[in-house]
This record gives sequence, C-alpha cells and structure tokens, in this order.
Amino acid sequence: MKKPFILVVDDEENVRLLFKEELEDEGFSVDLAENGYEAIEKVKGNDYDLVVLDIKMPGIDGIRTLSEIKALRKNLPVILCSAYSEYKQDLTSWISEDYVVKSADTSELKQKIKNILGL
Amino acid sequence: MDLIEALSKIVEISHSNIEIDSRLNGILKLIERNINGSEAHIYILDQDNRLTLRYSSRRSPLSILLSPHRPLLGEGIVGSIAQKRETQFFTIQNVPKRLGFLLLGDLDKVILPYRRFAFLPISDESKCYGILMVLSSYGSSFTEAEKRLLKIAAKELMGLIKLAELYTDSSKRITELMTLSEIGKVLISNRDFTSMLRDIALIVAKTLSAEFVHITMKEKNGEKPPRSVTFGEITKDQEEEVKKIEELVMKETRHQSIPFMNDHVIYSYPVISKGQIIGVISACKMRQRAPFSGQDEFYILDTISHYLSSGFENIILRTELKDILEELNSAQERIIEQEKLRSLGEMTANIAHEIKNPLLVIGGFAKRLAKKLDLRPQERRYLNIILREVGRLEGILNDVLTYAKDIPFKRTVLNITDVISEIVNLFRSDPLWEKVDIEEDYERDIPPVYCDPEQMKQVFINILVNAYEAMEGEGKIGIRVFKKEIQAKTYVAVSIADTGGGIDPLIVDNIFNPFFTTKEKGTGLGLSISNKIVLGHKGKIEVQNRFGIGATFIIYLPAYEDSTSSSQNGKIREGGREER
Repeated sequence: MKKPFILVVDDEENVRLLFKEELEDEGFSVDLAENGYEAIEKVKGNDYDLVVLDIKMPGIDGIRTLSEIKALRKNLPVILCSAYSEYKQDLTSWISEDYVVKSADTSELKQKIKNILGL
Repeated sequence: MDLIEALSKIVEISHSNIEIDSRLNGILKLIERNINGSEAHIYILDQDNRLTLRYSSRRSPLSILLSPHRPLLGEGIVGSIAQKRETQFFTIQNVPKRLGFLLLGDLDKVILPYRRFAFLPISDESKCYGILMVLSSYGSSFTEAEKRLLKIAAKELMGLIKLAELYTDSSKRITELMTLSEIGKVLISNRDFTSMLRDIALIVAKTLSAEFVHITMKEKNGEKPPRSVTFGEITKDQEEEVKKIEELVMKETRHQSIPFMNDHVIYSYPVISKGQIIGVISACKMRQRAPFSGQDEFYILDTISHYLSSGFENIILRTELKDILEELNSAQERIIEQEKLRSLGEMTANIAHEIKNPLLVIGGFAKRLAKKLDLRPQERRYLNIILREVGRLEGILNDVLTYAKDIPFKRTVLNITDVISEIVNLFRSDPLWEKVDIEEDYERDIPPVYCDPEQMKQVFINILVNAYEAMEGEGKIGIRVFKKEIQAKTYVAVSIADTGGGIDPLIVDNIFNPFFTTKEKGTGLGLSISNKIVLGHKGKIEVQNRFGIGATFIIYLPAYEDSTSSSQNGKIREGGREER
C-alpha cells in the first residue's frame, strides 16, 4: 500500500522539520512548504492525501491558503494547526476538516490525521 | 384736671416720641385718672378674628378673669362692638348680664362693683383695630364731657395702634428679608445637604426666637428614611409630637399648628416642590403676648417654606447632577482601564504566539531525543523535567492565547441600503453585466443594522454572481430593501430576485451545504459562507424558489437598537473590536 502523502505548511523551518520527522515516524510521506504560495503551487502539482496548515504566516495566511486549496481540490482534507487555542471565529476556518493547537506533543495531530485518513 | 387739660395731655402723649406701648399705657392711665373710680382696658383684634386683652391701666380682678379669654368677633359686648364699630355706654341697669359672655367663671361677682360701662371701637372707616373698655365703680352714668374724652382717646389710640401695626409690618418685612438673604447664602454655599439644613434651622430659630426648629426632608424616591435636623433642645416626647404634626402636614399638604406644653405652640409648614411635599419645617416657641404678634408670629415660616421649596429644588438638581457627573467620571475611568487591559492583552497574546513556536521546537525535539536515545535513568529524569516544564509553559500560553481568538469583526452601525447600492453600482459599471437590468426599490426610513460591511458585501456579491450565472448574463434582477417584523423583532430585509429559472426543487435543500455546487468550476462554498456570515450577524437567509421562473434570496438582519441590547445574547464578542 502506498504511504499517505502529507503536505506540511509552516513558515518556521524547525517546526517543519519536527513535524516531518514525527509524521515520517508514523509511516507517512511528508512534503514541506514554507508559505501559502508554495503550498498552493504544490497542491496543484501533487496528489496529497492531507495538508497540515499553519495559520499565521507571512504573505497569504493559512485561512486564505485554505480557501485556495479548497477551490483547487475541495476533497483534499486540511488540518489547521496554529498556536491559537481556538480559531472558531473566522468564518472560513470551519471549512477545514479539523483544527489542532500546536504543541510539542504531536500525538493529537497524528491521531487526527489518522482519523481523517481512516487509518 | 379739667377736660381740656386732659384732652391736650392725651394728644401730647399720643404724639410724643416715647415707645408706642408706653404711649398706649399713658393714655389709659390718663383716662383712669380723669374718670372717677375707673379702669381702662384695650382689646386688640388679632388676625384670627379674636380679641385679646392686651393693655390695662391696672390689673383688676375683672381683667385677670377676662384676659385668658379671647372673644371672637361678635361674641359678647366686646365682640359685637368690634364688629359693629359702634360706641356703647351702659349703666348698671342696662348692661348685658356677664357683659354678654357665656360662662366666664366668677364674672357676675367681679362685675358687681361697677356702675358705669363704656365700650368704644378703636377703628377707622376701613378697619377695626380693637376696643377701648372703661369701667367705673362710681356714679351712675358717663357725663357728656367724659364721653367726649373717651371718644377722643379712642381716636388717638386708633392712630397709635395703626402706627404700631405699620411699624410691626415693616419690621416684619425687614426681618423677613434679612432671614431670606441669610438662607439664600446658605442655599448657594454648595456644601453638603445636611449641613445646609442645619444652618437653615439655626437661622429660623434665631429669627423666631424659637425653642427649637426641626426640618425633615424626604429622600428622593423615598428610598431612604427622610433626613431631619434639629436646632435647639428637643426631648424625646417633643420629637414624637413634632413627628405627629409633620405626618399631618404631609397628609394634608397644608400647614398645621398644635398647642404644646401649656403656653407653647408648634407650627409646621410643608416644603413643596412641583406639587409634591419634599419636606416639613417646624418651629416651637412660647405663645407670646407681645404687641401685635399674635399667632402670626409664625408668618415667616410660611415665607421661608416657600423660599426653601425653590431653593431645595435647585439643591436636589445640583446633587443629582453631581451624582451623574461622578458616575460619568468613574465610567470613563473604567473604560480607560479596560482599554489599557485590552491592549495589554493583545500585546501578551502576540508575545505568547511568538514564544510558542520555539517552545514547540524545543519540546518536540526533546521528545524525539527521549524516544531515540538509550538514556541512563538519571539523564531520562533530566529529559522528563524538560518535557514537563515545556508542557507547563504550553499550558500557560494556551490560556493566554484563548483570549486572542477574537478575530476581528469590523462591525459598525450602518444603513444596509448603502452597502447594497454600492455593490449594485459596481456591477452596473461592469461591461459583462450590460445585459442585466437591475431594479432597485429601497424603502425609506430603514433602521440601521450592526454589521461588518465587508462581510455583507461578500454575501451580496455571492448571491448576485449566482443570479448572474443562473441567468447566463442576461435578465432582470430586482433588489428590495424593506423592514419586517418577525416575532416582535424588527429586521431589515434585502431581497434579491432573479429571472434565472429558479433552483431545481430536488437540490434546493442542499444549496447552503458546503462543497455543494452545480457549477463546473465552483467550490460550493459561496452560499454556505454567505449563510455562515448572515448567521454570525444573528440574521438568516431565506430562499423563495419559483422553478422555471427565478429565485429570490432574502437576507434578514436584525435592526440595530442600541449597543447594550445587541450584545446581551450574542455569541460573538462585540464592541471595542470594530476598529481592528
């Protein structure tokens, strides 16, 4: 079976690195993007199974990136991942599949990815 | 002393410079000396229409017996002479029994020695001031000369009493003005209410030479018990009496008086503001027998209570104004405080957000180290400490960042007509919309709504673009703005009707679902986001579908009432965030 292919979008290199290693340990293939533009380009050219998307990023933020990604591939699951404890107030954020508060403990993120992918 | 001499003496005394009281007494003495075995008395007609025996040439058993009794106008010979203003002379044979008085103790016995009786009104054309009463125990009747003497004496007495009244009136007026000016000074002194009341009580007591003065003022709205001040000595019993009379004044809305401790009297006057009793002012003093100051010695209380009414109105207004100002000031301080806290909160949230990523990296990799390395127990303990502390810090930051969740709604109070007409103008200038005929029908006097104009534009654009696409760029769009009452609440409605053939009834229930679309390139998010936005404004979107003809979308937004009512049950934080 093909490994699930996940795109991690975050503007901080060390966060990207941590998520990549943690998710690869779980048996996922991980691709990285460091901003919204790169993420949108990569979604166009790759067949990802899921996107992990930071909200606060320079350039276009995670919320706008989310709309763009959904416009391109409305069935591509997106998990928003942000330092904010809650992000329900933004009306667009609810079109993502899930929301995870960033933490050193990545188990919640991993669990939610598995849930969405039906693993 | 012959008649002429006596007459000239009377006139001389009458026009002398000595005190009026002494002049009156001097004339009475002269009468006594010139009419054998006689005594002379003066009754004064007081304002309460009673006659008081106030001057006597000497104290006799008769005068002692008569003086406590104050006959009414018309009562007995004294009263009837004062009423008719006619002189009458009597002998022992024709004098009315007991001088016409009913039941006056030993009157029969004390009248027995007298032989001649003279009653002369002290009056002019317009007014009776009193009675001159002369009784003699010698002779049988008054001679013509004596009668003339008495008539002239009565005339002179009239002049003197008139003068005395004039004098009393003007001194009254002076006292009144002085008192009012002193009270006026107190009223504008801008001190606290209770000390003002205390000063007023003192001034009134001084003016009236009262034993005590008691002022009770109701608290506004009757919330608190009335406040009262007393000047002078007052016993518990006296206070009870005062309370009783004050209650009576409040009940009957008019002044009252009660006799008190034999020779005292308490007078109570209402202080009335805008037809409502706001207080009572009472004074207690000895009933005086001083000249021309009968019961109207309390006259000044009446004037003072009227003066206080308007004065207190001002004070109450001023006090209320002061309270309001203080409230305003403290509200302002609270707002400044909140604003400080708010910016502090924002700053904290920003810092917390910036700290969180490095912390996540530290903790995340420490965790990976713990997983990968074969560590000795001691080192594993160190790592666990690091992880625990990272967890603790993350917990703190999560709490802080919860407050940062308020993603700005740039809401303002606005007229929705302005928003929709701006969008309409935008489309009208678009050449692609050339073949779309937009009809606008905006009701006047539309209440304002509290909304984010950018989000509402998004909603209108979504619906208009849908309409455009449904009509394939050609047709008619009718836009109406109107007011509608739904369940006793006022809503502002914007309806957008197109001629795009309507929505297939099979799918009409799905149009607000996310990712539902009939368009090749659509995301299926337009209407669902629009619906979310409108719901977020506590409004709703309604669809009237006429399949084959067209669809009408009606957006209802609650009319803006005021800031307090709109934030009461809102899930969305409002206020203070609009400008971000």
